[in-house]
Amino acid sequence: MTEKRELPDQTLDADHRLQLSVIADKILPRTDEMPSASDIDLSNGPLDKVLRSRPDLAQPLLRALRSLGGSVDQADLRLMQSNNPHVFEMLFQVIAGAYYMDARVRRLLGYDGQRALSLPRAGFGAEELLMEMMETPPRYRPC
Amino acid sequence: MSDIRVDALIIGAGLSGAVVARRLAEEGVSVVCLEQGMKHEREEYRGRQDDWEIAAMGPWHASPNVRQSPADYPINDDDAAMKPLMFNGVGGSTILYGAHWMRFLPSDFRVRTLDGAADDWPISYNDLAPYYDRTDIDFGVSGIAGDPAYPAYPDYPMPPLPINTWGEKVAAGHSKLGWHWWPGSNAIASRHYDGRNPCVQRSTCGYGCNEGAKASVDLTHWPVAERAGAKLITGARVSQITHDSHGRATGAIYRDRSGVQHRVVANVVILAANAVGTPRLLLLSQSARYPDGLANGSGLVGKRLMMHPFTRVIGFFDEPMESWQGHWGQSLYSLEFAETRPDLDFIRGAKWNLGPSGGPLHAAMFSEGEHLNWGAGLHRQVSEWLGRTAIWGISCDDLPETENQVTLDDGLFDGDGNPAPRLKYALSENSKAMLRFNRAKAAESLQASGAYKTLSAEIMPEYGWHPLGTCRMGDDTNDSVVDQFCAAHDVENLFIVDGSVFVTGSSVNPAATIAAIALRAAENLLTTRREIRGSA
Repeated sequence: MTEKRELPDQTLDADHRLQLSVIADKILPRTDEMPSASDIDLSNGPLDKVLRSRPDLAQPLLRALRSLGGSVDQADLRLMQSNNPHVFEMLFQVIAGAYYMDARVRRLLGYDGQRALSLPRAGFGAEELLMEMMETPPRYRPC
Repeated sequence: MSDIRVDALIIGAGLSGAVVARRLAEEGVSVVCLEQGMKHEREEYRGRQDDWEIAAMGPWHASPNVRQSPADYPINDDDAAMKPLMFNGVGGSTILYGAHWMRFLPSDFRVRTLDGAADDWPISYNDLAPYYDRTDIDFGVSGIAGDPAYPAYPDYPMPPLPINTWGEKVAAGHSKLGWHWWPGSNAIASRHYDGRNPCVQRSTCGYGCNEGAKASVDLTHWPVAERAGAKLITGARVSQITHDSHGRATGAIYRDRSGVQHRVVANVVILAANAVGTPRLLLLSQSARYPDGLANGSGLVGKRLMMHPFTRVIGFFDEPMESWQGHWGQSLYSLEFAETRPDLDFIRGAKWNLGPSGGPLHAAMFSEGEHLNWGAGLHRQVSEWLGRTAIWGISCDDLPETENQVTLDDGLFDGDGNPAPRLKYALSENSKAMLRFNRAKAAESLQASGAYKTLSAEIMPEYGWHPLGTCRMGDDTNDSVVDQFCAAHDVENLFIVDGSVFVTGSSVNPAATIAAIALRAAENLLTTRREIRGSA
């Protein structure tokens, strides 16, 4: 299900989006099975989806990107993870949040979102094992 | 300042406040409840949306320090080894709780007698049993009676929810080991029940139930209470409980969301603001007559904070189980190691609850050590986790320590300028040994159930779901804050009906016991304080 939500007033310009894309590819690189962050254009549509849901993340994200500067390599990210774990976690949350909302990623993972299911009418499962448990002696401490 | 006059003022519209409000209103007592949060509609919850996981890490997070909503007050938990979780709004923490609905064990009420530590409660399991029976019906619990870990109790009103594929594996594993397990009892409807819909196994219970299947008190109690005449005032943050020159409580002062101050005048004041909010309000209500805070003659207001040390053990299975679905909620539970065992180096024990394992973002955000995994390893982690894991949540019995406490912070304030609570909470050596032992045993359980590997963290400090014990009940006025019916020793028309009054913590989820104690207090109030009815 989708619904229309507004982007926060302060969002990312093209340079910041490019910077985020570089970082996101280090967090989520391409593998034989999965696309990289930039393969799904994470720093555009998927990022905006996160910021519509979590406008509170826009400002801290901008601050984190500014603090990292222009060229970010793995060592910079490791340093941030060690020295500013909360900032790294926020950055990670934005990137992973955007990635795992993407329809292609979800399809590849075999995950189709949280579905409404009907409860089985036949029983709750493991009924025979429960009968055995029911027949065990009381295990509470009398007092 | 405008005044409202009423028989009974309740502060807090969560679980305990709702139970008392409903019962008093049904008997014709005029009730006003002040709630600092707002009422939420089911459509607001994000469970049906793609962004449910990222929303759960922000506006629907269970920590007020993460949410930072205008309804919340900040909590200084820098010195707390467990961080408190709660929700401020109509329904309180039942909006976000897992609805694990279990009675305390009989031994929980006799810890001093049986294990030589902590204290006995002034009431027994048998004193509470009739109230458990009633609240099981009021909350609409799904489950199956006959668990040998308990004395006999009546059938639940609904059959249990499915234990799911992972539950069947663990049931078989425990059968092999000869260990206890039982289908989860949950305050989640498995059938249409009293206006609620059956659970759809979407597994987003922890972020608000879109179906109205979970028993949150905004659905189960407040509509009944309001139809009976109870008045619920939202966006009302109480700053002080007032008293007269004889020391009797007279009501409370609150500020609405536009900053206007009001006063409610009442014959009885009932605190239902949880084990952090309640002592905070009592300490905020200090005066010349009560220089250490209201009802604090014993010096125990805020002391003996208990938080249920918690961790998780994750089992990874080869075959896909769609374990992102299910109820979150407990599929099944085990009390195998809940009671004291003479061969172990700690007393008391832990309750385990088995549940589903969340979506891909939850899988990505898990960290066994200090750091999140990233790069190719992150892809592996999510691929191994998603849909193929089952999780034991391990909740350890927490015995009271005077040093673990809630006080007022002198540098942190809520949006209305009231001092925030400051928590000090450290794990005892007993709790640490209990966590270590149960982590190892839970890994053994999952391996016996077919898991090819397990992961766990030493402790998960961010899961402080159950603040308890900061205004304990007891018979001795020097050693407790309220009596066994939740009446304050020092202020005869002041009552505390939330988890603050717990004497020990049990390992079991406290919601059912909070509800039973609140209902018992309400019935006693109706029986013994007839003067309150109709006097406003």
